Order: sequence, then C-alpha cells, then structure tokens
Amino acid sequence: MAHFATCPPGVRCPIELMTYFRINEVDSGQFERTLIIADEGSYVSYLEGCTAPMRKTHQLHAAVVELVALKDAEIKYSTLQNWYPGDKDGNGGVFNFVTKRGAARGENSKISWTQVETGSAITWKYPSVILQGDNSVGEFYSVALVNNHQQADTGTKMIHIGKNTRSTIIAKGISAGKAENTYRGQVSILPNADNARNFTQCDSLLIGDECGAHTVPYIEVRNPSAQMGHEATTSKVNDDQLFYLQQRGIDLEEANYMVINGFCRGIFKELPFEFAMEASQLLRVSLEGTVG
Amino acid sequence: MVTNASEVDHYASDFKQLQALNDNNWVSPIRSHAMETFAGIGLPTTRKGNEKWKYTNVAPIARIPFALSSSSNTSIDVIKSVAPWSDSWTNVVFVNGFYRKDLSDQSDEFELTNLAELIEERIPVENLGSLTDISDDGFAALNTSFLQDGIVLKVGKGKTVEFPINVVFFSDGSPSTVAHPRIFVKAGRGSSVSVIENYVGGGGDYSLTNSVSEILVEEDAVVNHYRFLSESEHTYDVGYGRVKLSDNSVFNSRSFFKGANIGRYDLNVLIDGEYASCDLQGLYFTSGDQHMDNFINIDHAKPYGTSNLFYKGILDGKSRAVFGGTVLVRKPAQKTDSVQSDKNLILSADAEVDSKPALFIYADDVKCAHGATAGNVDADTLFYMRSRGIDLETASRLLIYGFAGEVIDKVEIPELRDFLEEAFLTSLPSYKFEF
Amino acid sequence: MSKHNLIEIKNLHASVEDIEILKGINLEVGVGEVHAIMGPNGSGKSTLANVIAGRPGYSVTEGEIIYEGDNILAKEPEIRARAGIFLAFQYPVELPGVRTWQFLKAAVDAIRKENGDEEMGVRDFDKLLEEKRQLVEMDPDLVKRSVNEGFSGGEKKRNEILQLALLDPKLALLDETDSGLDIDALRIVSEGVNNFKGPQKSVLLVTHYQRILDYISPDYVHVLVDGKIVKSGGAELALELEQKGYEWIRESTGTEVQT
Ligand SMILES: Nc1ncnc2c1ncn2[C@@H]1O[C@H](COP(=O)(O)OP(=O)(O)OP(=O)(O)O)[C@@H](O)[C@H]1O
Ligand SMILES: [Mg+2]
Repeated sequence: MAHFATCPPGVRCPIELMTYFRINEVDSGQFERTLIIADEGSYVSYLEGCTAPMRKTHQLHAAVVELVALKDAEIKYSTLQNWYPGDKDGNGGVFNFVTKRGAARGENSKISWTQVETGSAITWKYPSVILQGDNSVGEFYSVALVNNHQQADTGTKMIHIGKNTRSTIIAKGISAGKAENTYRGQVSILPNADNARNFTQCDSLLIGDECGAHTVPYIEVRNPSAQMGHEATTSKVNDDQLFYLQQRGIDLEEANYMVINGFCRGIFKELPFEFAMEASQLLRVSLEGTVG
Repeated sequence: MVTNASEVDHYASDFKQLQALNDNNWVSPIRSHAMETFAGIGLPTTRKGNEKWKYTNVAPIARIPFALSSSSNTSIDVIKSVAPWSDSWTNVVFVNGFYRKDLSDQSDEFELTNLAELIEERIPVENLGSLTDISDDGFAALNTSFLQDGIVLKVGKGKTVEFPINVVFFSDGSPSTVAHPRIFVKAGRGSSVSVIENYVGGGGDYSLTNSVSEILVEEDAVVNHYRFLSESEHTYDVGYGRVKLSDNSVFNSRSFFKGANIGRYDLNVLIDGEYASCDLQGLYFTSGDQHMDNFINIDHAKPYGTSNLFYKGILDGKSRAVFGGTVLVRKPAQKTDSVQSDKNLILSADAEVDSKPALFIYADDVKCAHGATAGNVDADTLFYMRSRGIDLETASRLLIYGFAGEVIDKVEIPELRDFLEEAFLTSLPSYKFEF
Repeated sequence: MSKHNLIEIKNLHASVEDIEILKGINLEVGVGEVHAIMGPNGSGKSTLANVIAGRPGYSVTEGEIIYEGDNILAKEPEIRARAGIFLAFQYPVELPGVRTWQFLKAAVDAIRKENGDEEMGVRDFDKLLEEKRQLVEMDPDLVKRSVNEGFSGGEKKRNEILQLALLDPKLALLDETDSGLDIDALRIVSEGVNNFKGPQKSVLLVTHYQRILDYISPDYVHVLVDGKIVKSGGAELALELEQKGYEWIRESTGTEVQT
C-alpha cells in the first residue's frame, strides 16, 4: 500500500487530506509508505487516523512517511494513533514502529508534525524535520498517553542546516498503570545555521506509582549565534487544581480529565477542529479508571 | 565494548611489576580482580550504542601506552603557583600520584592517611571500593588495578572540621606517564567537612591522570566538595566520583574546569537516605582544542530527597563541551524534588556543545525539572544594559563575567573564591555579542 | 518666545512583527516639562517608550524622533542613553551573575567617557552610590546582589529610580514605575522623580493611576488609545479620566476604545 501526493505550485489545498488506517487481519503486519511533496508556495494538510480491533496476539505496523516542502510551501501532518494497545495485562496490541521524515528543503518552507498517540502496545517513532532551506520552520507537537502495559518511546529530530531556521518542540507525556513513556529527541544546530532558534518543552504527568516517565533530549549546538532552550518537567497531577475543581462540585474523575485535557490543550489546538474534538474524546476514554 | 588486546597487554605488564612489590597484601586481590575486569572490558573506545561515552572519544587515550609515573622532587612554590592554597587550610600534596609528606600538613582533628602507608602497614581500608562499579567502567577498573597511593580521610562522629582539607594532585608532566590517584572520604554521623580536590600541572607531552574518589556521607553529615581541574593542554584527565548519602545528609559539590586536553568528570550521587540533599554546581571554560565531558548523575533511591544540579559552560576556540546528566528517581523515592540545568555560552564559530540532560522517573509524587540552553545571550538583557549607555563590548564582558560569576560567587571559602575568580576571570576571552 | 523642545515626536508609526502598534504619534516635550501618558492596556504606551529608547525588534515605518535637534532613529540604544535618554522599564530585566555594583559603575563610566571625563574612582563611586541608595531607601544588600535577580516587583522599580538618580539623564521615560508599589515605595519613587525634576530636565511618565500624579504634578496629560494620542490636556484631564473612565474618551473623541 502506498500513497503519493503532490501539491502543485501555489495551490493551497483547501480540504484536509484524510486517510484512515485499520489493521484487521490476525497476526498481520501493515507496511504502508506515504510521500508528500509540496511544490513552491503550496499548502497541504494531511490527517491520518489509525485504529485496529482487539486481538489476542500482536500485530505489526511499520510505515514510512516522507515529506518534502519546497520554497514557501507548508505541510501540516497530523496523526491520531489509536491502534489496539493490548488488554490490561499486556496481551496483544499493535507494535507501532514508524519512520517519519520531513525535509523543509526550500526557503521559508515549513513542516509541522502533530501527533496524538494513545494506542499501540509499543510505539517507537520520531518524526523529524531537516531544516535545509533558509528561514525554514519545523514543528513537533505531541501528546503521548500510555496506560496498563503500554510503552511509548517517541520524540523528534530537528536538524538545523539553513540560516534563520526555527524549530519548536512541545511534547506532553502522560503515564498511567504500569506503562512507560519516553520522550527522546534530538536538536542539532550545524555550523552554518546562523541565528537558528529552537525551543523545546517536554512535560510529563504520572498517574499512580507503577508507571515511568522519561525525558532524553540530545542537544548539539555548533553555532554561537544559536539560541536553543530546552525545558522539561515531571510531576503528578496538581492536587491544588484537583481540589479547586472538586470544591466547585466536579467529581474527581472528571476533574482529573479536565486538568489533563488542559495540559494537552496546546497540542490539541494544533489539530484540525474535528480531530481536536476526537483527541479529547480519546483522552477521556484512555484515562478511564486511572484515578480512584 | 571491544577490547583492544595490546592496550590490555600493555597495562598487564606494568600491573605484574606493581603486584610483585606488595606481595600477599590486602590490596593484591583487589587489584587482581580489577585487572581481570579491565582485561574483559578495556577502555570505552567504542561509542556506537555506548550512551555513557556518546560524545567523547577516548581513542587518543587508549592509543598511548602510558607507563606508571614515579614521584619527583617538585618544590612547594611550583605547587602553590598553580593550586589554591592557604596556610590556614590542611594542605595535602601528591606529585605524580605519590604522597609528599614533606609538603603536606598533618592534623589530629581527623584521620588523614595516605594510602601507600596503609598498604605498607598492611592496614586494610574498610569500604574502599564499595561505591565503585569497576565492571561498568574501564577507567575505574584501571585505577583500582593500580591502587597504590591517595588519601583516606575519616571524620569522626559529630566533628566539625573548620578549615578545608586541600588535596593537590600535581603532575610534573613526564611524557607518557599515568597516575591513578585514589580518594576515600568517610564523613561520620553529624560531622561536617570541606574537601578541595585539585588536579593541576602537566607538561608539554601527553600524560594521563585517572582518579577515583569515593565519598561516604553518614547520617546528618555535611560534605562540601570542591574540584578544580586545570592541567596542561596535553594532559588527559579522567575523574570518577561516587558519593553515597545517608538520612538527612548533605553533599555540596562545586566543580571547576579550566584545562586538560580531554577532561572527563563522571560524578554519581546516590541518595540512599531519607531527607538527603545534594547541590551539584559546575563551571567549565573550554578553549583551544580542549574537550570537557561532565557526566553528572543523581540517583534518588529514597524518599524526600532534594537535588539541584546547575552547570554552566563557556566555550571558545575549537573546543567542545559535553554535558550528560541523568536524574533517576526510583520507585521508593516519593516526594523527590529535583532541578537540573545546563547553560552554555558559545563564543566561537568553531566550538561545539553537546548536552544531554535526562530524567528517568519511576515515582509519581515528585517534582522534577530540567533545562538546558546553548548559544548566545538574549536580546532583552543586552538592551537593558545598552539603555544604560553601556557599549556592546562592556555589556558582553559583564555578561560573560556574570555568567561565570554565578557559580564562583557561591564558593563559600573566601581564599578559594578569590583564587577561582583570578583563575577564570583573567582568562575569559573578550567577545562582542551580536544582537 | 517659542518654547525649547527637548524631544519632538512627529507622525511616528511603529510596528512589531508587522503589526502596527503606533499609528501616528505627535508629541513635543519641552525642557523642564513633565508629561503624563495614560491609556488602556495594550494601547502602545510601552511601545512608545521603547521606541524612543531604541529597543531592537520595533520597526519605525514612518515619522521621526527629534531629540535635541537631531533625528535619533538610526542611533544605537547606548548612544541615546549617553545623550541623556533614560528608560525606567515596566518590566526590568534580571541579570543573573552580573553584580549590581559593576553594572552601575559601567553605566556611570560610559556617560563620563562620553563627556570626556575619566572613569570614576572606586571610592568616589562607592560614595555616590551610597548617597543615591539612601535617597531611594534601598536595602544595602540588594546592591550586593546580581542586578534585579530575585528582586520583588517593588524592589526592581526602586532600582530603576536608583539608576535614574545615579545616571542623571535629561529625559526620563518612566514606564509604569508606580505600578505594584506599596505606599512607602510610591512616596520614595515619587520623591526620586521630584528630585530629578528641574528646569533642565524633562519627564515622560506612563501611568494608569492618579495617585502618582498627586505627588508629581504633570504639566500635560495625554491619552493614548490604539496607537494614537486622542486627547491632551492639563493635570485636570487625569482626574477627569479617573472619574469617567476611558469610555468617556470614546464618546468625547469619537474613537473606539478597546479595553
Ligand atoms: N514584542 C512584541 N511582540 C508582539 N506584540 C507586541 C510586542 N510588544 C508589544 N506588542 C503588542 O503591542 C500592543 C501595545 O503594547 P504595549 O506594551 O505598548 O502596551 P501598553 O500600552 O504599554 O499596555 P500596558 O498598559 O498593559 O502596559 C499590545 O497589543 C502588545 O501585545
Ligand atoms: Mg506598558
């Protein structure tokens, strides 16, 4: 299975291109490839949603997605990943190993990855942007929520090559149950990337004392005019916030959802509207039974 | 890790000679075991998949067949000209790894012995090596294989040692020699002590200093630890520090790097007691072809611990600075509060900084944060100064000084603070920030 | 006799990131005059003060700023500062590790050098600093710390006034120096400004409150709305504003006021 899309010069693709993936077969794998090229001055927004029914055994999803943005072009790639995560004892579930690469090749080009990862038994994926064109922009917005025995190891790579290149990384991780959540990301600012800017914010929430949250950034700076800033925090859901909501009559589960939804809001707002709604819904479902 | 046979063979022959000197001594089996371990793992020259050494290539160190150094009759003036010194302190001098009794102070306030004497007298040192995992570190294994001299410091229960203990490891830079200093500190319950470790000297040819420090901090004790590394541009310096904290104890570390060709400081603080805290700060200034790798780890194993990690680097020339730091919060370590930050100022187009500040969290009721910055100063800061009429050059200088000063200012020993100010501020380059 | 202007702002348009904030400001401040600028949040008051001081990041798209007869728009911020323009920041910047003493001395010396004077001796400077510090009743410990680092909001504002006293400029741009002050601090800041005032000095004071104007009586009050001065008057205008609010301005001038 393969998808190729090219957006011709100057075209602002008015509708969101949408694909929906589903793995049905038992013990099966899926290995699709996607290539999107946005020609000069064009804009394209691409959405992918993924689900798989419950299976007792594991399934494999190993896909490759490649994006190329030429001069003044912009690609926005959004993913809502809700593959079957396995049952609460860790049986079954999809292994989701995905390679995602973006080349912001032209001047003023922009590639933006947004992902909401709630599914899969194991996820390994690091959507990256190679910022080649001068003034090119790379963005990575991510929510990864793991529960039960899920493991997510996800993040991004921003490689600054061109001048005045900018990248923004906002990653929110939520761990519950016995799950492990890792942000792993690399920011490289190469010698010729004058005035490159990166801002990275990684925040993790832990729900319960059997899960793990890990933050592993790799920062490589080789230009003195660069400004690179990385910040990360890890904590549990703020008790004061929960109490404030409870004091206003909201039950704990709902309060918890509201706080966590707020924690993710910045990412959800990067999604097209219907998707953002769906992401909130997904969050609610995935959080069920994690408190109390 | 791939072991380089010739590198192991080389050290093996030196090892046999050393062992022959102290036959049937308590150190013999310790050394033998370490040598066997070293033969198995070698030096960490392979970096692919080796996260601990991802950004530092030790092949140049592995390539040179370093011979064990011998003592020399360096004069006290030479030592005083390169290391911090005050007559009110307890000064202890080692030259090429060997204790120089004639240059060192004695004190009856605490137990301070040199390791060679304890080996000679056949007095084993309890807990020596207990914090060092040689199976995981070729350099520490090598140091232990050549366990020969160093200091053993024990501060008794409730004892407050007023003046710092200033340990100077001076290398006279004899070509292709290696020294393996060893430090063992035990701060008894409720005691308080300040220790300065200095690695200074070196010559125009390649030499290696490969130290291991172990510091045990018992309940309610406070250890202030300072480390000053300023060796010649041909010296390789690998330092391995392990600290273990018991309930309510405090460990403060201030590390200053100015020189060495390749420098590495691997510090791991194990918070093994409740309500223990550590504050680890560092300043590194790299220039020329220098390479400095700070690998600073905090392991929270018990609840109610606090840790603060604050490292700052200034990079010039073609130098490279590496910061790797992991805060690990284990499952029992609830209520941990940890902050980690690494800030770098890059003053040259040929310099490189690689920073990897990681968090591994397995307990939920914790507050952990880390941050890293690299590059230039921010525009608002410069504007504030310029709006007061200060030109870019002066503003830049004040900011660079201030950047370094933030760490130096927190040194609580006045003579040491003055020394460091002089050592760093006079050598910082002039630079003009762009905006 | 025509009045002697220290600064003349003519049809000033300025934008940030391509958004126009100042949309044609005209303002003349004579030597010895005190002008107050009021206006709703976001109307461009700080932008005006910052543009006069030469903060990078603002682009002036039209108009000019004439200071002592010269257009200063092309001048670097430190050159403007040495020529006597002082900005007391609405949000003073923290300079971790930069000692207040060194910073202040560098600033004083920069101006002295400009005037062909020698750098100030350490003793003399200590004396001067101590004198000014007492004037603003600043805690002596604060001078020993890094510039503004960990200062409370009020302490930062006092520090701005300390710098005003120390650097003795010609034009003081005070951007909400009265905000967030307790009663004593308000008095001290006001006294600081009054000490500064004089026949050779001019003040442009941005404020939201009448209370500082009770101490420092302005000669003129201007109301800035959406990047333009929509009304000017004497000290009584501030009182009127306080009573009637910005809604009244909208009605009486026919401008939209967004608050
Ligand atoms: N650096 C900037 N980037 C983006 N917008 C800015 C910037 N500086 C100012 N603005 C915008 O310009 C407008 C005017 O801001 P300004 O700070 O001058 O307002 P002000 O009148 O001083 O308000 P206040 O009374 O709240 O201090 C605001 O809408 C503000 O958001
Ligand atoms: Mg303002």
